[in-house]
Amino acid sequence: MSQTTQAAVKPPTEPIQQDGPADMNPAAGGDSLLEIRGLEKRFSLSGDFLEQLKFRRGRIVREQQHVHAINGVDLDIRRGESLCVVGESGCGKSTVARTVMGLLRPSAGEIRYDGERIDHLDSKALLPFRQRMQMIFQNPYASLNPRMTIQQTLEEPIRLHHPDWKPQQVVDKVHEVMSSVGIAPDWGSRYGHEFSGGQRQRIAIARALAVDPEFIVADEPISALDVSIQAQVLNLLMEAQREHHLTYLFITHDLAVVEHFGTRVAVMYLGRVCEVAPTATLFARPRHPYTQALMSAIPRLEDDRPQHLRLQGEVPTPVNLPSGCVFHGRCPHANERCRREIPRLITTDEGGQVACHGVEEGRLS
Amino acid sequence: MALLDVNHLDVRFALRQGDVKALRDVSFSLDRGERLGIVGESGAGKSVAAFSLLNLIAKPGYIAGGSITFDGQELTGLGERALRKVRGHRISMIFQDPMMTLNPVLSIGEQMVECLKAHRRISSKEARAISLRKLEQVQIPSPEKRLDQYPHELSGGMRQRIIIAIALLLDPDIIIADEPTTALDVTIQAEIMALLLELCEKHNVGLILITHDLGVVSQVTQRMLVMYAGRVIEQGPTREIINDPQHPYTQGLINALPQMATPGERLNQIRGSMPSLSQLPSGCPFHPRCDFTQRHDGSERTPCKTEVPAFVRSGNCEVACHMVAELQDAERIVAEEDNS
Amino acid sequence: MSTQSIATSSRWERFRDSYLLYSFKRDLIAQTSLLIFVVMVLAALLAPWLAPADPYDLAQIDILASELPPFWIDGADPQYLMGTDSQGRDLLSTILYGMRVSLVIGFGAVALQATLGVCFGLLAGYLGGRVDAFLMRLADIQLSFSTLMVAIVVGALFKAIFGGATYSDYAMWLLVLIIGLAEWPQYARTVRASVLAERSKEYVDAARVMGLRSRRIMFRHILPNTLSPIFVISTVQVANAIISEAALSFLGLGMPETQPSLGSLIKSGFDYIQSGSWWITLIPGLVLVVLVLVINLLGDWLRDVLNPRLYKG
Repeated sequence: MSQTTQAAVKPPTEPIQQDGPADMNPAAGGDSLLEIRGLEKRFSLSGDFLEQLKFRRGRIVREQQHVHAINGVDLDIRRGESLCVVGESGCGKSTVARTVMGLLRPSAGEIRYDGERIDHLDSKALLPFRQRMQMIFQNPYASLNPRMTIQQTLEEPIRLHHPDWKPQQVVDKVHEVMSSVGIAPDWGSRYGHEFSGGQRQRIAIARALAVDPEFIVADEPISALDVSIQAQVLNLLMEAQREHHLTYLFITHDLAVVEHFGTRVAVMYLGRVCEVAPTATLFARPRHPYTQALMSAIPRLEDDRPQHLRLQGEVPTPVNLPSGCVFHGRCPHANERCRREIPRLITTDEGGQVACHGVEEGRLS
Repeated sequence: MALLDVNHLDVRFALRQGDVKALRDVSFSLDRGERLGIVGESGAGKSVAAFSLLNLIAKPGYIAGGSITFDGQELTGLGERALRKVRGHRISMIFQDPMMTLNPVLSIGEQMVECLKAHRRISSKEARAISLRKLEQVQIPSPEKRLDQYPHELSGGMRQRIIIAIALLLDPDIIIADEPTTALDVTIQAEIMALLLELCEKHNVGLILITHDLGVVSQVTQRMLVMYAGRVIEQGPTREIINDPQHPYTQGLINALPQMATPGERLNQIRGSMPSLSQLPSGCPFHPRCDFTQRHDGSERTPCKTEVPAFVRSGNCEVACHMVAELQDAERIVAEEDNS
Repeated sequence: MSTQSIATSSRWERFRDSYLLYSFKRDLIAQTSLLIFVVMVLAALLAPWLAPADPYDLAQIDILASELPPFWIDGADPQYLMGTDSQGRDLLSTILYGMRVSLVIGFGAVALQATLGVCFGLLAGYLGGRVDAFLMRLADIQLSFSTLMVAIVVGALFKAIFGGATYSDYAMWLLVLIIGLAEWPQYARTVRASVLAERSKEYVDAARVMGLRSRRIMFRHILPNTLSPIFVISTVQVANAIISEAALSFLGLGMPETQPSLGSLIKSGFDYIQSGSWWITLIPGLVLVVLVLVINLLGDWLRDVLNPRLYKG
């Protein structure tokens, strides 16, 4: 990267030109299960303290470089819905998922679960929430401990969250979740590597369901699977939602899946949310130019030729964020204001939210 | 006669448990300038098929039988030297991961010039000029500058463009592209596919596109093969197969796509998973997952479990399925009875 | 669901079908090495029953029978198969007992190294940040002292404080301690590296999301997945510890001559090499070489087998 040399000390927090959380449109009122407000996450690229010290013009200065994975994300997840977060690699969608689950600490912002702030809790205080929120991972080949049998893998969370259960109760519960995901309970003494990718993902789902959660974060749960298996796993996830009244935060890059699975969709680009809308609305009428480009790029069976909107250039690196709207460099409709000012999410008449000056000004339909 | 003719190709991997048959009885052909898609899930053998065309299968694998004829020349059993003349020169390859092809310690220009000089007797200056022209063809911004850059300085999409430029360097007759856009983002993927298609049409280059994405195949190719467990189970014009698939597996694959179902409803899934190549079921490899092994009257269609289905013609397509064969026989009998 | 058979295989069946056994059956060097190693360990363990004489029993030592050659040389006494040393001890018996001392020190030291190194490596790799920086700097400092230096300092201090007699009594455990302390960074570094690789895998995230405590994640989830490299370096480290012990003893910093190890035997015979009694040094030397060689060969084979990049599927 050629920019690295001149990237001097970045101010720790960039002034986000967005009004505080109070101004956010609490469209759904009180039924939000999870609220994310002004979430930011930076990763340091500069190693430990000693490596950050640089010698510049006769003085020792401390230099740090950051990847700005998420920059001020506001999202509400409503009880019982499947909120899909889509975007291309590096847009920060997985970071959102991992921050929500407490695997990463946010650099700024708040996460509230059922009204309670959870982003600053230590692991002990978080334990009751761990039972209510679970996660399913992308790679079924890495998400099961290779040295543990399926029985052990599934028993572990149950024992942890129900220390008073009798051994027989635990075994019964394991058998129940195994059958509910379509894995024969007598396969419990096998190891993960003896199963196919689809079966492993079923086991990972069983592990998440074992503690009877109400909220599940699924980070690209089907993108490592074959087409015919993807359908099986999606069906399983939808069944589980009906049976256990689950709420999903579903991270994916595949818009075709979103159209089928999501209640609402949030489109992310370079760490910001550019559009949030109910699925049908978004697919009927995408408002943000990026959403439009993304949707046109899905290869459809009906097409005889690629039909995509051409974008200029490529996704910039999240190390040096562009000023103004993060999408302006590739946007065909960008003007001076887009280069200068960060757009905020405005509510459209169709019930969605868009962060685009063009839409706000009525330049774009 | 077709430019490339593959007949009854058998590829095996010699493992300690015994030979694993990665490809069995694979036949297809490619005309000059034609674009062919090979579709299948992981383990179907689509990459092995592509690699074996240039005899690039790694060690425990070997070609156990069949023939590959390119432009009248038999490629199986050809020596390394003779193969090299075909490889990269007349048939070139694009891989999924551009970093597999690009050498990280050489600049883009050096790699392109080296490749040109290995196959043609030209000066470095000429080679550089050709390289520059190819970079312009793949619509890279400021191509002159790119020649002196190293692979790690470029983004994923840019690297894949360079790979395409290198693949086109020696004006090949065929490009084999193995999942060329799987590692890329959706918007970049669309651009790369469009570029590949445009270049193939403009220069009349044949394309063998290996992918699991039916959408991409329908956009880019004219004909397609569907592979399952090392066998071709259906082949024919892309449009016909996509619009009216005959084989139950192809039907299942297309019906399983989220866009084929009403949002929020169950997707039409195929039961079970692809068998491992070392434990293939008898008869039709798909029969344990197939919903059509019983006839309408409830009787068992026994050949499904005992005999490997032969290809039958259906429209412009060829299908390896006992059910399709039986239905055709029945129709023929009805038609003959009507005639008489 | 697919048609996988439901019968689960027992541990023994798993082992029988494993790549480990398969490659062992095809590797003549590994087989021979294991055979020799087992024979040597058994001989050392059973020394009190196998050895013709007890070298620790002063009553059995006949000073008049010193420096007798082994049986194939003229002037040998058939009672002493491998001859006798300068004090008249039966060399075969002394070697068997000495091998026992060497092996105990080798395995003991490695057990200590492994315990320390695995704990520190796990902590450094899993917790990262300051803990990691502190422990790894500590390892660097430890590595910059040679084993020899530590042994000289500790040995000298011990002798000065408790006297030579106490030193002789505890010499073996002191050596275990010295070699164990000196080499733990090898383990800590290896373990840390594989912990870093494992920690980024999703099953560790899954365990964290579940709410498990760090200690359980480290020992129950990560440690079992880092056992292969620990296993491999353990073989090398046992061989190294045996050599370190021999070197220390040869320099007079190790086992006293009254309860000789292979190293102190080599040393005690070294003075007589000029006077023609070469066997007192050479035979224990050969035993040491063979012992270390077979352990290293076994380690090489194990590394090849367990390296996941070399075998797949």
